[in-house]
Amino acid sequence: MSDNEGADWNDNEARALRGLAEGGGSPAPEVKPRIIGRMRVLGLLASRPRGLWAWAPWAAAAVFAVIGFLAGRVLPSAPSAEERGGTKYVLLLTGGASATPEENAARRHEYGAWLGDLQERGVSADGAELVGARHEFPEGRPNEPVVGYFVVAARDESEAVAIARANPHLRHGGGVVLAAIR
Amino acid sequence: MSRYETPSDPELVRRFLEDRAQESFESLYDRHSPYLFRVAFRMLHGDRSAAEDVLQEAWIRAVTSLSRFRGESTLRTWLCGITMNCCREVWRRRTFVPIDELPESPSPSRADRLQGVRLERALGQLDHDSREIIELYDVLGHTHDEVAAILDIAPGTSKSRLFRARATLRGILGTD
Repeated sequence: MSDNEGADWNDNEARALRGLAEGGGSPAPEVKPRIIGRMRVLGLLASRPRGLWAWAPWAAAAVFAVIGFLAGRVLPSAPSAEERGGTKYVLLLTGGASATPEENAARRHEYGAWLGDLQERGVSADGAELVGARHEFPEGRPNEPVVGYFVVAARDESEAVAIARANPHLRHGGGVVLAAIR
Repeated sequence: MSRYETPSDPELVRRFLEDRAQESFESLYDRHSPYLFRVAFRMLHGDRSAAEDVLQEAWIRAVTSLSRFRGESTLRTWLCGITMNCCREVWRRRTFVPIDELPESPSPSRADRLQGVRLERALGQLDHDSREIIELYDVLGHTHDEVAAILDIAPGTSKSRLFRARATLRGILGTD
């Protein structure tokens, strides 16, 4: 064996190895209820609250969210794209299947989890749901409404494309428009 | 406009330990399961069903001992260590056949795909220790400190194991 056989991979080799991590996707949707069911059987989860009290945690969460918003609380800022040596990209979420308020809340939660996952991986990312009346110009032109956005810092376009393809909005019948920010 | 909320991991853990509610667990599950599944999927040679079983076992163990999580590493690293232990138990029970097809990935070119298949075959021939370190460091992108925390070894051991594992992998790829 020569001295450098265990040394670093070259760029192509390193990229190919990293590319293997993209396969496999996510666990099937039915896995979560299966695990939750098993945990209930094992007594690892509390019994579900019933009646009016079931809404108490949500009401408290809503109150804190409003207080946080009024206080101008914002998410801590992640390192800039420049700091990561990359480019900022905007992901515009368009359309999406209509949903009940409960489904929308679940969707918001899911998108937040996706955002948290990106941040955990060191990707600078932020995003928000867009609400209220839309004004599109020129008026009368048929466009799918923009319902939310994310701004992410990616190393290059291929990483940005991979991030956009994994956006949960696509699972809900929506579209994602990806563009680099100059 | 309302921002998509991203509470920190310690906050999610605190909430769960406080109420043990399904919703609190789901917040943790939704954030970390895609990654933990990816770890198990890689370690179990692309066997989705086995990876999902490992994910279940890992969450049950994690929730059982969550109150003992001291935050010495990130929650994800800690969960990854539990997942790795579950994968090792599966390894002990069965033998995997190296996969011939590259798992689904975002529109790889033909050349990338062939390169991927070649790598998968070579990885399938590695011993478990070598495979673990290559998967964690080279494929999943962990640092040596994280690998050390996941495998419960010293960072220096992680570096020397990686060196040896890469040499073995290069040898396999060279004779492919």
